[in-house]
Amino acid sequence: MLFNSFAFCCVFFPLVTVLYFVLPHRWRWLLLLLASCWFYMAFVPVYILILAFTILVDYAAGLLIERSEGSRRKAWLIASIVANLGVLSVFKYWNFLNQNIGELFRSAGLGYGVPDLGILLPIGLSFHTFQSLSYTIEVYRGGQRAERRPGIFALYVMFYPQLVAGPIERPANLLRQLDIPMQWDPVRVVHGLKQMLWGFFKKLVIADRCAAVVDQVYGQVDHYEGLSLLLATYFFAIQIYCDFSGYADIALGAAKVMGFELMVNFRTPYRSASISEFWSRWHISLSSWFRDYLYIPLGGNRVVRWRWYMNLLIVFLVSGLWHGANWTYVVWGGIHGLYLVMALVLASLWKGSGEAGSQRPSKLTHWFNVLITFHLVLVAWVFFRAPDIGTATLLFERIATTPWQFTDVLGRLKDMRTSEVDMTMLLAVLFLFIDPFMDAVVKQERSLSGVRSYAVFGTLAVAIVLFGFFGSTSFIYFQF
Amino acid sequence: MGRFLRQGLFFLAVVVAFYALAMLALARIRFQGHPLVYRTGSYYHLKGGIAYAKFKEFDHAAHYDVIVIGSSHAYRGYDPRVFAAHGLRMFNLGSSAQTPLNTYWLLKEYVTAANCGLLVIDLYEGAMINEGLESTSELVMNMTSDQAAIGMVTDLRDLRGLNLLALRWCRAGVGPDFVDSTYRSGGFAERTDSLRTPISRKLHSASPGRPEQLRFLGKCLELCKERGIRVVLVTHYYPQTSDRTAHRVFRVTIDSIRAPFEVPYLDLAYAHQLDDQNHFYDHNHLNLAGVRLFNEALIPLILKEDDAHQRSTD
Repeated sequence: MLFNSFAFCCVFFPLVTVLYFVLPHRWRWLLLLLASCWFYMAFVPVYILILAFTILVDYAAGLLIERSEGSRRKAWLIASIVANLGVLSVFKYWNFLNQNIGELFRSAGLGYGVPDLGILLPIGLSFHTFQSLSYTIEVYRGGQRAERRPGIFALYVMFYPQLVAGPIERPANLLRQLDIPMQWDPVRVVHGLKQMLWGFFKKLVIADRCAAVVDQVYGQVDHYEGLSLLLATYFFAIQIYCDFSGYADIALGAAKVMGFELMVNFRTPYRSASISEFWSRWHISLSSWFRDYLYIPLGGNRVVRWRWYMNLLIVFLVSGLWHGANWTYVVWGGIHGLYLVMALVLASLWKGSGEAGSQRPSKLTHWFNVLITFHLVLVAWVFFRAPDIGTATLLFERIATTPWQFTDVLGRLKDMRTSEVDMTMLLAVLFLFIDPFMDAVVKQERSLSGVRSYAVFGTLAVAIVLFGFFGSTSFIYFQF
Repeated sequence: MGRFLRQGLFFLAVVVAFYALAMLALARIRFQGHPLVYRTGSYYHLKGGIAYAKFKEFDHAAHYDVIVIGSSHAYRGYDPRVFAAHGLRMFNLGSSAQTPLNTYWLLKEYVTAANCGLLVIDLYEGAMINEGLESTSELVMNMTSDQAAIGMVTDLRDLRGLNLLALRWCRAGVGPDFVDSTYRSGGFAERTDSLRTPISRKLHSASPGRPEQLRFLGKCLELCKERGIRVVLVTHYYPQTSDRTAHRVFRVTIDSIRAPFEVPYLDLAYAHQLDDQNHFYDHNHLNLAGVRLFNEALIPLILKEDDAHQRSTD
């Protein structure tokens, strides 16, 4: 079920929330579990079996790990990892792997007849697989007691607000909260609803409007020239941020209404002054997952310098592959890994030359760094959005070689209705200005007086109705 | 809880007030010759044109021997002048991309057994795969009936429909933004140009239609039955060279919907000898020469079907 659907907004969410507070605490887990099943089965019902398999395996693995000692303990963890990654490999990576092996065989002049699997990727597979894996790893490390109640564990994996696109929760945060008898708190409910409203604004007014331009241009890169391609890439940067962080806000808000505090997944990432800062503000639940369960086990930065760089590259290449079974994602991850390695190399050279200062950079330097970081991220987004490497390189080539005619840029977005493009531009620019303020407000880091709050959120609601793109478009990160 | 509900209601009131003010401003302030609201989304339809002229002309008190309803195939394909030559007074309630959802509300508010001798519903698969926003937009801006506008928007289940209604009311006292020179009278709009190029394309991919639109087609037939309105379903001429697969799928679906109501269906899509390049002005609309030939062939057929149907039900 999509958050931006009539079924969710007008039936599912109000009904589940009301029932949640009407029911006594001991039955609430069952309500949330059934609701989560309903939510998930609205996409492809049969795929709930994959989720059930993951839940069963990790529930059993958690108990077995806790009861075992020594190498058996490790063996159960490995079994859980293999089972989880096995499901992920079959459903997400089989066709990609098979096609690449086929290419290799063909380039060597050999025949290859293994067919692709004709299956759809289960929605949110990478998200719930990683969430489930974090549980078994934490039980193995001794940081989490194995959950004895299968229903509660199933709810931990399937909790509907974050089931299909995160945040990727940890047992220490979510599993613990499932035992707390949440009370009706009007102040908290209002905060949750405000966060949801902000999420809907980002998704319906900004992301989906930008998508109309981006899809048009990226669908026919060879039809467009320099400035139009650049404009579409800027739009994509805004689209993906608003789409994904919009989802996160709706998820966090919906959970907050019921009393649950989920992990914050975004902190105005485009205001980062370096790539490492960007990754501490973008998709935080995934970056911290990779930090805790891949980067640190690889040795992190407590190894020789070349190994440290290698660790960073490995983490980002894997992160790229996590996003999708396509070389474009691998390149996207690789670019970010290289950015970080280059930043470290430059920093060490800078330090070596004795020019490093301890004082804070000036405001001008800070904003210059923000601008540079944003454009570095933008370059990588081209690979993330393009359907293949060829299209991405063609796009760069056309930006560099075709004329930039400022006066005619809207006209060059041919086949598009002008009202959509200029309104989208206006709203996107406006969004960039209000985002830091609104982000602080919905995260309750900044408060608004009663009148101002009504004015701000009333305007948001009106903007959604007046400028929103309706038609239940899916969220980008669902495919991961 | 009481305070929470009071706050919620107050917020709702604030939103309604803001919305009314914003819509009023967007509808009144003009930019590049048109109200600013038309720059905020491409789904808004200007007031005026064929639909505006049609509803202005439609006379609720009059009796029409035939009323035709449907998509652009209807208002561009059924000429009241040809019907008049056969002694029949005809009015055309067709509109752009009209879906059964729209047809249902037009029937409900405009057509009765008293003002309609025979209803011809023109069926086109292209209109069935539409969610109905395009047609609703044009109709809401131009219809004379508030009830039909509210009904269509409610059934559309799309927040954009609310904006269409608000714009309708904000522009209620304002005249049309444009006039369509192809409009004649009786709801008909003519085109005399020809395609002149060969057609070799699918009109639409094979799809039985959107479930909600098929449901509304059933509701249309049910409403006609309740009101005692006689109905003939017609599919007008398609270019001979267009791909026929989609239409075959469509026909099976229509047969299953009309069966319980025993409504006759004249599927004339490919039952003609017209020349694609000279009798069509685009890949699926007849020009005036084509319309005349089509109407001349159709009128005896619908009268015969209606007569036979009446005798069988008596």
